[in-house]
Amino acid sequence: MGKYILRRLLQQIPIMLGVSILVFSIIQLAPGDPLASYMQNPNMTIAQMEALKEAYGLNASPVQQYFSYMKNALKGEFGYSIQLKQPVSKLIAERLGATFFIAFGSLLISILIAIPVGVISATKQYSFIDYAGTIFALAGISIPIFFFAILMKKWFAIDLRWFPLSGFVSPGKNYVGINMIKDILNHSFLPLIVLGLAGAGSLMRYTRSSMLEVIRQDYVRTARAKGLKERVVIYKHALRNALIPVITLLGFTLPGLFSGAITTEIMFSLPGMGRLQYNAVLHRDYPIMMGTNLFLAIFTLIGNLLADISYAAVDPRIRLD
Amino acid sequence: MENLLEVKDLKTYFYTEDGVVPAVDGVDFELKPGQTLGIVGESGCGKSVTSLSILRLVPNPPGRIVEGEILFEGKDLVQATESEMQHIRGNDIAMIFQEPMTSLNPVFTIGKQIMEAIMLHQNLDKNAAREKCIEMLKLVGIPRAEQAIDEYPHQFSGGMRQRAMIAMALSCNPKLLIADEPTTALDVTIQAQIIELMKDLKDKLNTAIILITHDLGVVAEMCEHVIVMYAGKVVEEADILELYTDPKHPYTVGLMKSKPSLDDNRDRLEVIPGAVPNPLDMPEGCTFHPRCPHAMDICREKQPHLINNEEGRKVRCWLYEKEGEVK
Amino acid sequence: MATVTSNNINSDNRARSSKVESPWKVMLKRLRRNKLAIVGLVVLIIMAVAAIFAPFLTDFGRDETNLARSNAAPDAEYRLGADSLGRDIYTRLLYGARISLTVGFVATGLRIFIGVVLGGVAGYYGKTVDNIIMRIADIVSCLPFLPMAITFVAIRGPSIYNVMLVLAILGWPGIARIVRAEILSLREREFMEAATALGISDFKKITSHLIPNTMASIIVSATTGIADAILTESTLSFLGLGVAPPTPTWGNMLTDANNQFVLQHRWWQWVPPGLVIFIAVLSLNLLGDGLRDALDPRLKQ
Repeated sequence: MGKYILRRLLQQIPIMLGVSILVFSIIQLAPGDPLASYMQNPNMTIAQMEALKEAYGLNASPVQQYFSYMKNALKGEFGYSIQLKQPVSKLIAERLGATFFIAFGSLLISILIAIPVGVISATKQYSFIDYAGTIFALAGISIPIFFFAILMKKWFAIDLRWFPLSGFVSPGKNYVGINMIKDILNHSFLPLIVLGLAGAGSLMRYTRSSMLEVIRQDYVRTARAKGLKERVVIYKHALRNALIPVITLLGFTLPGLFSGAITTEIMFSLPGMGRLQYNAVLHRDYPIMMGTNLFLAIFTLIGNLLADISYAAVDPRIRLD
Repeated sequence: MENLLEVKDLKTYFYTEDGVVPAVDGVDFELKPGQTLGIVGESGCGKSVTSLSILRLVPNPPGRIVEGEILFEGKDLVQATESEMQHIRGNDIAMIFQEPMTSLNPVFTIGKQIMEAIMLHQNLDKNAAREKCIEMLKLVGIPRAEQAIDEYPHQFSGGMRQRAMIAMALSCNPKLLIADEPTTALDVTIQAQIIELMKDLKDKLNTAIILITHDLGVVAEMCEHVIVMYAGKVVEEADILELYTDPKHPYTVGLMKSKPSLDDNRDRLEVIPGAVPNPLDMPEGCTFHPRCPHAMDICREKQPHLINNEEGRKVRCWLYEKEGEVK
Repeated sequence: MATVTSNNINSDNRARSSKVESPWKVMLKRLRRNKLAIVGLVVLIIMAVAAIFAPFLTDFGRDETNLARSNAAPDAEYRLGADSLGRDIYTRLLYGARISLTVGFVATGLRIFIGVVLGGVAGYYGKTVDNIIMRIADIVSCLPFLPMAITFVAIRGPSIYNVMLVLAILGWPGIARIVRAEILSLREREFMEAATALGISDFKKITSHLIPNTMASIIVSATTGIADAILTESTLSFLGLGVAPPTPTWGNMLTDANNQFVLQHRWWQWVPPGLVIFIAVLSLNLLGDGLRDALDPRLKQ
């Protein structure tokens, strides 16, 4: 098992390098000077400009720039934000919490809804629950997250006033302890529901089709032939097998999860990486764009790795390889 | 002796989008305790569906038992509740399947899967069930049973998996064992071993067996009594010796001739011409007539009945039945 | 049964096989029976027709403003009300369909083209070529989709072309994997050996044998791909990074609506575009589902 994890970890390194090269090249495509905002300042002298360029390492060739960027990145330094004049690593660190909270909180909600509904849908195919679940899932897949967010804000924040319209904490209140947690949950309830319900759709459909395939397998018939109760046949023998591909899917949905988290952060003004990135894009703050993309790619890789490990945990056939 | 199992006019139909498939269309047979019955026929003749019907394991939808009785020790399984069936499955009637590679759950150890049945039906605790499981694995000839019990199916070969399936099926001392093509998916040498094992266990445990196969050689080795099925119906029923020495139905005759044998010097095997009829488009009259070398006019028009022509011999063919004569 | 050596059986099988329908016919037959998929298809056709004939379906110009009637509620003149500049929302929905559907179809077409070419090459030639292409596919699928799309569009400038381009560039690995997997399994089969024996060239083999065999999976994947493309386009346009105003798209029509006052008092400015996106994407997904079920032999029983 340890060897397996180590091998998968080593396999991620070239992919990570590839991702960094790709992101770096795309950012390099940017037209114009990253320091354009400085040039609009009439007090800047040419000498100062050159000094700045030197400081940002812009005089070197793109290849040299990449290597020096990566060297610093390994030390945890991702450059300075042009707009916010702060280290990118610090800006990201401040916002990681909110993004993780939204992404994984909503993932948990998705799982808790999708897997039971998916299993019932598959075992009671063509029943009312199956149809209702399928329609709900299709709706979840088909609704744009930003529009879903608008709907939830309209109903639950504006009309019913049950939840705050936006933000992560009540401004100026400085709650501590249990009150702070309550405040954050109150603020993040709508974003979590939006992303959780939207994500439950595809997960539910996948669980359903995986389960439908598994319940036709010979070993499920064997389990029934043993005289096991239907509940045991489904939730022990079938589900354990059906979850194997679902876990793989969870790994693959992580990039989508962060995409959704970003939209949600923007819609509900949450202080996460998505909004950092969005603002960076609006202000052409390339160091931040580079940093956030790289970080999100790393999370995706970690997610894939976690999926691999859980895959091995549920499928004994993997362990020996 | 009292019959252990009586199947009366069993009809199991599949309702597909292309039409109704009468997979089992009025099958009758009976079985005494400790007896071994062979059900023989080409694939698609309904022999597997018959066996699944007995355990009420026909996938529904699309399959459904539409008519008939399955009396097991006098109790009609067709009418039994699901929880009554759960008590019977694996306990009174056990089953082994054709595909040992896919019939074991890949995510549980062999031991866990066998112990599950033992703990369920025999009220043994975990340790006792484990003992019993090891004992069963030894009985079916699995080497190093103490270690093998904690291994996963993928670590077993096909033959070993089928042995494990047999161990699982016999672990609760069933009165009836249904073996659905237990050797078909295995190598020839392994086939012989599994047949030997089953013969051996039959003598030791005196379990009644229904052996479903298309392999007449396997039937000859194990069974006392044989049913030949064609297109969802029983076409011939006889004791094994009689069937071999004097097959009546032209289909049985064809099956015999198409079986290779070391004794004869034929250049090529004879085959039954044609293929099993499309179940959605069964021929009129006797379903075998398009392939039958003796087909007569009446065969194309009317279905023959399963008649008792001699002591214990039943055959469904116009050659042995006069029109208008009722059995 | 024992070895079959008779010629009878072969001729008999041939006679029977004449009754077997072609896979496409079977698929269409099954698809016709799926009511939801047909509803989806009909809705899509209506939307496409409305987009094509937009000028004939409305009396207003696309960007025609009437400040006197800005924010007007729906009435006889403005069937779905007017936006903040007094433009007819119904008209802009029609024209928006042009952009949104075009982006969906073109981006997916491009994505499939890249995916089929790269996946086909990887699957057919195998070894190093396969390795390189599939590692690149791994790398691309690790990129966070929306953040990368935002970055790309921000750098290249918001435009319909850049939206289509980024959807294709980020989306091809999925298609490539499908094509590659199908080709790997197909090339092991006998009819490919027969093709080799007949001296058919590699290129011909790929185009005439393998690609048609992967069509089914590609069509299904394309249908849901168009749905995803429309969703992404609307998100980018909503965020102000997709198609820039005054060109209307369903997404950018919602940009102005995202404030409390509009949400509370002017439903006609945000409900119609949101609903239209939802219905279009839902229809595509229903159709995609129907196609997948129709092509899935496992559901045949």
